[in-house]
Amino acid sequence: MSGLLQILNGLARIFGVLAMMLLAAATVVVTQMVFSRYVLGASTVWQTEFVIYATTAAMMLGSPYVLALKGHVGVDLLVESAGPGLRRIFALISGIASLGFVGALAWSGFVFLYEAASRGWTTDTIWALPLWIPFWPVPFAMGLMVLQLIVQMLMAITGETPEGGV
Amino acid sequence: MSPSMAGVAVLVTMLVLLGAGTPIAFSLGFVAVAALVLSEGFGAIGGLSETFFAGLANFGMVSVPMFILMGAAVASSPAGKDLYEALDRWLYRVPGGMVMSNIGACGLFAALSGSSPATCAAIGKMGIPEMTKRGYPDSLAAGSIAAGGTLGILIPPSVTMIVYGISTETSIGRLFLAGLMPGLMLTVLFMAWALFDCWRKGIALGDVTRRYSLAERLENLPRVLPFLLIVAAILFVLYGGVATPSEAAGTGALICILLVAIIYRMWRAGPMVAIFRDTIREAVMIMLIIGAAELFAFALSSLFITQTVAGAIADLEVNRWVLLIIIQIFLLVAGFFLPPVAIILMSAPILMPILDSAGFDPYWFAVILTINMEIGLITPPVGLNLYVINGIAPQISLRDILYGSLPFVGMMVLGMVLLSIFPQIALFLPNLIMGPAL
Repeated sequence: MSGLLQILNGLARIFGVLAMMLLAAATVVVTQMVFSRYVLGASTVWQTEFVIYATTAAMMLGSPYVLALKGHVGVDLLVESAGPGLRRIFALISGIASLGFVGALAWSGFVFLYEAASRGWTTDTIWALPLWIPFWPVPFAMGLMVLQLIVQMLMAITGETPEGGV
Repeated sequence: MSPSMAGVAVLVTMLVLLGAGTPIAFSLGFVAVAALVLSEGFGAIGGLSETFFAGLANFGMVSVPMFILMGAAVASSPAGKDLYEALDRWLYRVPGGMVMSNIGACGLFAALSGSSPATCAAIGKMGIPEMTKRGYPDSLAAGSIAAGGTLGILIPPSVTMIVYGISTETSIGRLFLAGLMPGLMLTVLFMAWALFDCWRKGIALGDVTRRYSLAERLENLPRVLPFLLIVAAILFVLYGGVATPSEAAGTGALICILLVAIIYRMWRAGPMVAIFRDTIREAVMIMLIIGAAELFAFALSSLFITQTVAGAIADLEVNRWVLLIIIQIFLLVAGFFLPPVAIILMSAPILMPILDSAGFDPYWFAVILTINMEIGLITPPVGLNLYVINGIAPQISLRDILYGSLPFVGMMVLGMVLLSIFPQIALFLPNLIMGPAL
């Protein structure tokens, strides 16, 4: 189980690197946009949309990565002070709730992605970007998180610890 | 289910989920999904991802990761050390200058980095040993840094204020301006307490242990001033209405990255990746909470919970100041456990209509709320700053750190009282520069 989690977390790290690159690209493009609009007085067409979608994609793709880093904050006060039995119950509650939300997002995301791609939907702007391009990170990132959450929850319940650690 | 029953169910579910250690974003999201499914059936899930995506994919949201990126660039560089040294070298002759340069450096660095724990680490690493070496008590050295670090969420540019602006649909430029004077006021109050504490304990404030030549005093300035100029430029373009917060943040972030690359020679891949990794970690965490909180707010209002709570409180006809104090106590307790951004996102949809009908200014309230949130950063059980200081200064006991921080909590409460008596402290600048709010 711990090996499986390592594979999933490795995948999450690849998503994370992609997220960093998208954020870096958005930073450069937003500066270029500001420069050409306010300094050169030129009008910009695709930049605003690119920045929005690159940033949103970075946030979505970053989610499984942040999950692997245990960076999605919660209140761990009770969990820390609980005994092993209660900890498993907490892990079960937390895992099921997380899966309920992330799973619902992933499922509805794949349905929407399929519709957007098969019906050729585009963004309603001048750029008219096919909608699946900015949207694909939602189902894929949420899908990866579903798998991570399932493995994490099973490990917490069976008492298996990741990477043979404490 | 009646709206009030539904409200109780939501509250209990949230408490159970958060207590079990569920990440805040997933707790909010789960409650939203469950509420939608219960009220509209499983069909409601179909549009979920589209709503979630649409909530995040807009230009205003871009400012959150961009300001975090800007702060991460500054926080990862040794700019904090330079800032601290620069202030110390200019203020060393002033009685109590040590305390002032510590708190002042905290305020400036916190504004630049936007991160309370990063500020405590950066300034505290030098400030605390320096202060204890010069005979200041451990508790004061630790407490002043812990408190100074909290100033960043109030002094602009502040991510906490941006999140407030997003969730209450208020002007971010105006919020930043509203935070400026109260931020300075708190800085002065912190300094005043520190000096009073020194005087009370008979610590000689006027002793000058070493002198700095003019060349030494000018040495750090070229490394520090560019960062301060960027913040000034961002505030200028925002208040002038020249650029949007996202444009200012994105450009500011790129310039800050270039500055740390040039000034501190951090152009290699390692430090750059670290900046972006820290940004993704922080920004994704916040953005996921924002996205989930929007679904949560939507679910609450579709179950008429928001309207029922607001109506019930309006019917109570309590004195508006009593109401404000109750709200603040509630938020304070939440602040003991949850990060500021999460509290703002969860409470804003319910609080805004209440505050509006009680006639409180949303910009003034933002400042009061933010100061209240600062308290949570230096109080147990999850006061992050306390643990950061415990980590960088292990020789000082957690008890001393806490004991030293408590008087500063008193100063924050005093600040809130002053702001309640003189709301103009917050509202004067925005009204002067941007005209009265509509």
